[in-house]
Amino acid sequence: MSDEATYLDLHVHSHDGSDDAGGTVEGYLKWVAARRALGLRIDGFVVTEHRRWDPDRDYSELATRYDAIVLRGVEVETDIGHVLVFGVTPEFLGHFDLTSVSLPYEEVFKVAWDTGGIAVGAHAGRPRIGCVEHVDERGVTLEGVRVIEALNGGSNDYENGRAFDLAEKRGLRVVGASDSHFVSALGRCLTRFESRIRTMDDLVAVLRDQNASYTPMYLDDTKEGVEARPRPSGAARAVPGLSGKSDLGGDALEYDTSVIGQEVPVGSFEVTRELIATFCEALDQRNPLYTDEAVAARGPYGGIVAPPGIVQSVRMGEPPDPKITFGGFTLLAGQRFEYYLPVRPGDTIEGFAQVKEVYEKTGRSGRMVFVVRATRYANQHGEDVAYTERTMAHRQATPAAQGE
Amino acid sequence: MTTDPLANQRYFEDVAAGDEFEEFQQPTAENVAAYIKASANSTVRDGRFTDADRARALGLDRPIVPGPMSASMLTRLVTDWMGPLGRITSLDVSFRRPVQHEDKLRCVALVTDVNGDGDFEGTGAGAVHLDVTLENERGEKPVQGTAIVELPRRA
Repeated sequence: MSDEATYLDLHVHSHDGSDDAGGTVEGYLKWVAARRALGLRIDGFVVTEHRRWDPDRDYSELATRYDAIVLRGVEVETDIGHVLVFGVTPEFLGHFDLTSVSLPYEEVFKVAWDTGGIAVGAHAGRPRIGCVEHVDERGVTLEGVRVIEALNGGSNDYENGRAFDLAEKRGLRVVGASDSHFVSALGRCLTRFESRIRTMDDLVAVLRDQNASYTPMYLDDTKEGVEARPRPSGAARAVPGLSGKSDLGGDALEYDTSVIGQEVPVGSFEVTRELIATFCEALDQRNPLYTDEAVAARGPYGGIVAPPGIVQSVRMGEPPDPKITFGGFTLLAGQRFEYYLPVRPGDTIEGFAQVKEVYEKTGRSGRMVFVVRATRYANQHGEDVAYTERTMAHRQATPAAQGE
Repeated sequence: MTTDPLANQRYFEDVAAGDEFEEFQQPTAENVAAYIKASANSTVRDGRFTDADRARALGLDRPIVPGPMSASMLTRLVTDWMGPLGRITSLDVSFRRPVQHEDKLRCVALVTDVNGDGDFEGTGAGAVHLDVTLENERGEKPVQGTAIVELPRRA
């Protein structure tokens, strides 16, 4: 073992730039410190947001404060699945629309290489959005692909196993990374480099070097004296509802863009003691701050307040319709609730809703269109008391294929 | 219910990053039917949440538990963890795979960060960040998210 070894998680999403991530960079850094305290080895990570590169983002001060390495790459979406790009330059960015969900992979790998960086096939064993199926089902040649992420913290053992199989068959190098969207998943898988890496230039140089030495591994196995687990097996295991459908191309998305950001009133209701009591009974909520006048009077609000979920429990209208025609199947992809101020009996709450955002991405089920609807709840004093977001995914495939 | 309603209160000083709290849920067809009946959200009135044949046609063994119901299990987990004087300031969940009827769910709250800058109604309470997750018996994490909770300090 060389003292110069560096343990890096190469694939991490943060709330700063990925729609579906809950972790913050500082949260990840605190988690790194907590893992190190348990004797685990992780020197840092690379933030690779989905389809987005923010030129002004700078984590160097935070990284110094927590004595860790924080680098930045990007995860783009191509016609053979998702691809991590390290060493992102203005020249690279000038070639592509990063928000596209079907970039031509040969060009992504070639331009990354020619501009001094390197592209890496992300979660290679994942249905649709990893390259293995595109090789198996469509005979893709993997032109210009040198490195793939074979050990991915968000993939199952079978998916990771078949990625290792492909790498062996094609002579590709392999890395490991967590693909974490939440703090506690950081480092689940990572890569041990047998050299000192502190900057993106260091990392790119190693990944471009055919002879460099690095190995994917599990964070749990970085503890001194723990024997590294063998790599997962790709022995056949049925994946329900997925086959012969790996093509990620298709028509451009069309919808009514004029409704985005248009906020409209969608209804109001009065908060009564009876409404609160009924809600608490239905949910078996026994918090005395909601139900017991005497206890509540001594509590922090000086009287009964409504449980936080009450605003969502009242039926409200819908914001203007963006008229998405894509896909035949719609499901709930995410929910966000924020609670700002107590809601009390006697309050009148009014809802205001809008379609906040419409965007595309690719996942296990192929192409998907996401529609984010937001509702703001204000009281009779004009103060915002709560805010909710609901993200619906429009898809072509069925729920068995859900997820990324 | 105990005579002291605050007997199970959790306080900011007693929480550290890495703390874990778990509950178990196994939503039955009856539970789902009751949830749908009580819900104001009309999108949960769909055969995929109740009808076994429709679920099979979609490639699933059993009908799906509606997303808002899974989110409610996580809300319940957080409110049980924090105690009556705690306050949820945000809960953000993403649904990554289907939750099915009768799935054995481990609901996990994991403290990822604590900071003393919270403001609980002027009492200077602290903010605690949690990762919240539903894990099923197949080792998948179909629902994952984060919550921020304000906890009171010991007097």
